[in-house]
Amino acid sequence: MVPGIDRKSRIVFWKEVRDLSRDYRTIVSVILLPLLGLPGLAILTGALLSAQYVEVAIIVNDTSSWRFAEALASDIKSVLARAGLQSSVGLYSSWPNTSVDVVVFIPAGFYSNISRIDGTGVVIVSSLIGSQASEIAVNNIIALINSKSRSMVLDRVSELSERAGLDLDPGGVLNPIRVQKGFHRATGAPATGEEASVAFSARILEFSLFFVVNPAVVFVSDSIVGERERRTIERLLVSPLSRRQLLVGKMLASAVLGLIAAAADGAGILLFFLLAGISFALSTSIIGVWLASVILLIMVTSAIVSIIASRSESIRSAQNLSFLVIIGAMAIYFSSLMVDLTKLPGTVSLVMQAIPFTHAALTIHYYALGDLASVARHFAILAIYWIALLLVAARTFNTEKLIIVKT
Amino acid sequence: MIVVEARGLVKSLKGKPILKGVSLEVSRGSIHVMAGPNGAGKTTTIRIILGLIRRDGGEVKVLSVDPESGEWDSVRRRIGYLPEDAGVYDRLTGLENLWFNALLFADGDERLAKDYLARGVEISGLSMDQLSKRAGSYSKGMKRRLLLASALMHSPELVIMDEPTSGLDVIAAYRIKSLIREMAEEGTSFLLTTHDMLEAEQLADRVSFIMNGATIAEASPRELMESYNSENLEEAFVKAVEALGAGDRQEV
Repeated sequence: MVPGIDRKSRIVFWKEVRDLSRDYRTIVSVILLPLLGLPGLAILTGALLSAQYVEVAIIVNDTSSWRFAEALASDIKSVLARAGLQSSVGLYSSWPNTSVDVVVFIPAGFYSNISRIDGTGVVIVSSLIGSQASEIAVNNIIALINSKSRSMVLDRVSELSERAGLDLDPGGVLNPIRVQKGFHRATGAPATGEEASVAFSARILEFSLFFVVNPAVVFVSDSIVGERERRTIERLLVSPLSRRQLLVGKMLASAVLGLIAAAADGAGILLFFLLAGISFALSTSIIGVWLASVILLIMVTSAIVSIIASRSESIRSAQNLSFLVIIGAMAIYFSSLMVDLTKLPGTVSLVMQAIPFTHAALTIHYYALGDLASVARHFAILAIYWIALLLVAARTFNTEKLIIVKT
Repeated sequence: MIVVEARGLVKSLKGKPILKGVSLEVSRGSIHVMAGPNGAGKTTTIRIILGLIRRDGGEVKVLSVDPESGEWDSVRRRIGYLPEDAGVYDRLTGLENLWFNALLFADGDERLAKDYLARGVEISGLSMDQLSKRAGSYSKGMKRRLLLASALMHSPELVIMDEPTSGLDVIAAYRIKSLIREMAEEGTSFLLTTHDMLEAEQLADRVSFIMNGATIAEASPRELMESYNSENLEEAFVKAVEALGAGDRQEV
């Protein structure tokens, strides 16, 4: 058991959990909103994306290309439907009078060019500027045309090999070098594709830590400054309860509620990514490491906020000041989505390691890489940060400031 | 035996002098009232006595211990405290409020806490039906009774109350005063503050007049009235303040 969690801290914990768990407004905003809101956001975004309507015009300036254009129109319709876009694809002999989002222009001589064994047929694909849907449609259309081009190349190679009387593999002619992708761990040992997926998904878990910090800030600010605002702090400070017991009890309660909020937020984030079509793989053990990081992160955040809260005039000012803490956490966890925190140059790395939040992300990161020694090191650093910050919070707990309200 | 002894307390907040020399003594089993107008320094004195804020000068001993010393934690369970505008935990029921307090003072010993709770319920005078409701729904008087019960449930040796009857209706105030007298007769020592001289006269065995952060007189109500040739304590206080021109503390 962590030192300092004695009977009196547990009494405070009991009171805090009862009190905070009945603060329905906070619970709704901190727990239910992310749990329902984030997946809801993904569903809404997905629904809006698929509701987009794109008009595609294929302008055929080459009478021989009509059959090709008709087949292309049908393929474009299917490709755009698979991309979640509704579309209408029309064939025209000149620029249509109506506004269109995408134009596929087939110039004169196109068909004769592609019919030659070494000819190049040019297709001009144009998108409406400033239209996100047009961009998505154009990218899909270009990919479709490239795929058609590749199958034409294979036909041409087959024909050439036949003419030359050679037994050739068209695929081999087309791809003289093939890349085979593999994975390895930090130790150099080979890793499976599944492990690589888990490591990639770990970034989402690192990012989700951001949502853990906010509930901890809300609960601890309310728990400490709220005592003053509700005018219960004086009796509590006169009771046979040490500052450390009081803080530990409050932090534990915030940790439990913060953990519930974090689980809800984490589930919300995962649902958001799932519904947004981003697939990821997670193992039970990495979720275990995430949970352990979350607990320590909540305790560290609680200790930092306790130091701030005991010097704040109101819950609002405590939360405003604590916003600086949130910004720090936000910077780290957002960057962990795109930046490899272990690959930073010395000085930058030193600055990052001085911020306790970094270590919570690194435990998950290193676990995903299979480097258990580093996982243990960063867990230890987080725990040391917590104990040190708790001691500072207890030592600097400013009862005078808490009691004497500015009027 | 003296349970509270304060000598020459001095305190400034943000550079503004709040206390310039408050002294008082509370004897065991007596009711000592600090009387004076709002802003005289009564609450600050109490907070120093309870170790909630640090003094800039002077000496304090409560139950023979300095509140700023390391031994203070051992003394706190022997004290009951009712701040002037204290609140209750609105989201807890009345019973949960009492139980939390009982557990704290019983150091988690559930059997002892149950005894404290039973006494708290009795002192509060609230029915079980009322106590099972959330304290946030209580009237001001009911909240005050709950706080009073919390302050007294563990049978403290010393009870410190800041304006105990402030804002209460006549009946609620009468009940509290009766309880204070009853407990004092049983040996509990009381240090109270009030700006109501009639209340001081009714309750006190000994009164300290506090004005502008200093004790200007200290004696029994009868002695103060005799000393200032007054018919009541209110008049005595006014005369003590008028005599302050000389700047002396009157020892009667």
